[in-house]
Amino acid sequence: MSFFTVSAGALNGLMLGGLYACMALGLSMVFGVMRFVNVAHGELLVLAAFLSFVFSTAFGLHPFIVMLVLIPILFVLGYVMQRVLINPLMSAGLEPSLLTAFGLSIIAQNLFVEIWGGNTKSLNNNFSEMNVNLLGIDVPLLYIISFFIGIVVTVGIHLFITRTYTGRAIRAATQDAATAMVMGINVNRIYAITAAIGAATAALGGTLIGMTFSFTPTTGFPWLLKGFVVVVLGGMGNIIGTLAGGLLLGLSEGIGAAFVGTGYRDMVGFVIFLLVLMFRPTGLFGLKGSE
Amino acid sequence: MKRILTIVLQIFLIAAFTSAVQAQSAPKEVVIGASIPKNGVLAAFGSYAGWGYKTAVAETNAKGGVMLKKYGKRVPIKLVVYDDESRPELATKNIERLVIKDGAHALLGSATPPLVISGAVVAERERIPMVAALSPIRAFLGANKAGWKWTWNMFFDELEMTQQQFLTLNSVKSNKKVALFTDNGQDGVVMGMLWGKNAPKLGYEVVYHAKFPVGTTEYGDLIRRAKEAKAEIIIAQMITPDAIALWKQMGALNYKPKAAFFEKGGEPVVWSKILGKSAQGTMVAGYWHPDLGYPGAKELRARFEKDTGELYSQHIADAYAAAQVLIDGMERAGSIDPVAVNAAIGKTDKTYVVGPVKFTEGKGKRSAALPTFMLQWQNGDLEVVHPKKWATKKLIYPLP
Repeated sequence: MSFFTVSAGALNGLMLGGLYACMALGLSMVFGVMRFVNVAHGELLVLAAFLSFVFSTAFGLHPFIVMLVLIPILFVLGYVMQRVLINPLMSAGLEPSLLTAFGLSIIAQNLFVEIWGGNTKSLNNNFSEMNVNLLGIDVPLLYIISFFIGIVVTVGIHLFITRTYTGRAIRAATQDAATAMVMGINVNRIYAITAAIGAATAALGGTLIGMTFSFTPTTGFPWLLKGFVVVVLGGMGNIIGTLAGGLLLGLSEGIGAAFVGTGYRDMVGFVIFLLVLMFRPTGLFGLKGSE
Repeated sequence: MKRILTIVLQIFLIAAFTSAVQAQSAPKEVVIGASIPKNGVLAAFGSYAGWGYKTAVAETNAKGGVMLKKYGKRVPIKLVVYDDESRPELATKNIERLVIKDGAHALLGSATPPLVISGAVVAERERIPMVAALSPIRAFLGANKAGWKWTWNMFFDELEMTQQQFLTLNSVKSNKKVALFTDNGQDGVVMGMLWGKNAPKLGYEVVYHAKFPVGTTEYGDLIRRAKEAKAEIIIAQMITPDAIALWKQMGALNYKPKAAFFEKGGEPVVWSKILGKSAQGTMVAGYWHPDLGYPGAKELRARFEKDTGELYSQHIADAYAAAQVLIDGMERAGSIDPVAVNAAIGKTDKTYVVGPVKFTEGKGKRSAALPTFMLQWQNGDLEVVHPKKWATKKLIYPLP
């Protein structure tokens, strides 16, 4: 095993980390603001992938164009789901909303099968077999695009949270929902907006997954698990931390695969996940109530 | 006279009573159960298996059902199919449900060794005959060293299949360096081992062997190592989503082998649909082609394509034939008694749409090996390219 192999693994992993960050941002936001583990987030990613497939097949549009169209669609879907299904349960504790999300996940998977069938699908695009040579190492172009999309979206959401009135309201609701309500903030609406932003980022993550890999109606769960690892690594609710967590996961998987083999790639990520949980449960960059 | 009339009346009453008893014993329907992957990573195979089973049963029911001599009549078949979602634990549960709740008199197998074997274990325990296809012979036999008793399998033999890749390339020039990519499924393990053994015997060298879990999505490191080893030939054994990821990433990392074989993963039509032009020239071992001249082969392809609007797959043939083998077994037994049906299946010796079927392989002779050849994706269709005597098109080499 050469230095080149390790370097190539590290660089490719780091780039892929951008996709992980896109995929996990929604999960991180929802958990950070509402302390709600959205176990249906994996199905949002798969829904985005399927909708991308439908639009790009029906209208001949490039998946990147479709991705932009899907952002407002999933934003609205996330808003409605939160407002109608989850918000009414938030005051009843963690379990009812968690079970509802779980139920939604099962319903979604079955709907996907009914509508689109169980066969593997992928988003055909001219980027999936292109590469860029960085420092003598071939890196798939889609990984590089995902890396930059991850950074742009993370910075965008961070600026939204820190520089806008709604963003300040979200931070207030995160820190103390009861006081935020007293101060005139419509917390239910804020929760719905947060979920909507989370769903909108799933449009990005799901499309990138569909372009880079392939997907079936049950692909959501493995990606949800990876999303949890990213969120824990970065610090729950910390947007910049989620980007860092995604990049760190990608990097460690890439290096780990070079040393112990691709077969143990995912295991490397989960071992790091467990170590972080044991020694720093708030995550590497997490502070309670931050963002 | 009175005495004769009394005797005749008694004979008549006995005959009427006997036929009434027999008629009461005849089942209303024969239940055949199957668990197939309608969802999940193996859904492509499940769709072909489901179509094959359904079509064979529908044809039999069109004649009134399966002829059971014991009852002197045809009894319709009820085919009950559950979705195992490509999960072995669900395949086990489904077979249990089929036997215990649905009262299945016989069973048809799922697709690929993990699912077939999970269901077969239950069939053995419940002593219900099962006919399976879509599971390579050695992987199937290896899962039960004591020998299967109630489960019958008809598919290709990996011993023969894992030579086809090398034999196909004997007519062209390459550096004879091979990189293997095999997952940790039963068939991946068996075939990986066999390719490793067969390669040197046939003049090839395995310069790299990548082994990875089913469901792996990122292959960059493995691809770089295969590239460093200068392998011009890729042989892979993996499920379709993983195979698609591997081939796409090979393209993205500028690794262009001269020949690529994608066993299992490269066979369903989704491979060609998703990859489009980049699937051109990739190969997969086959055991059935509609132009091979087996009875009803062309018609089966036409029927499938008319029913589904999709390109055929060779799996429709072995699934269809598996159901026919089971139904024929019942007819030979003349009843639904599991012991009789099981014994009758063992006597199968007939050419079906998939080719000649006779159970001669393995302990207990429960497997029937289908002869193999090499298929290549050419312009969205699978063509036979080796051996020449069966070839429908010329081999494309090197990969475009």
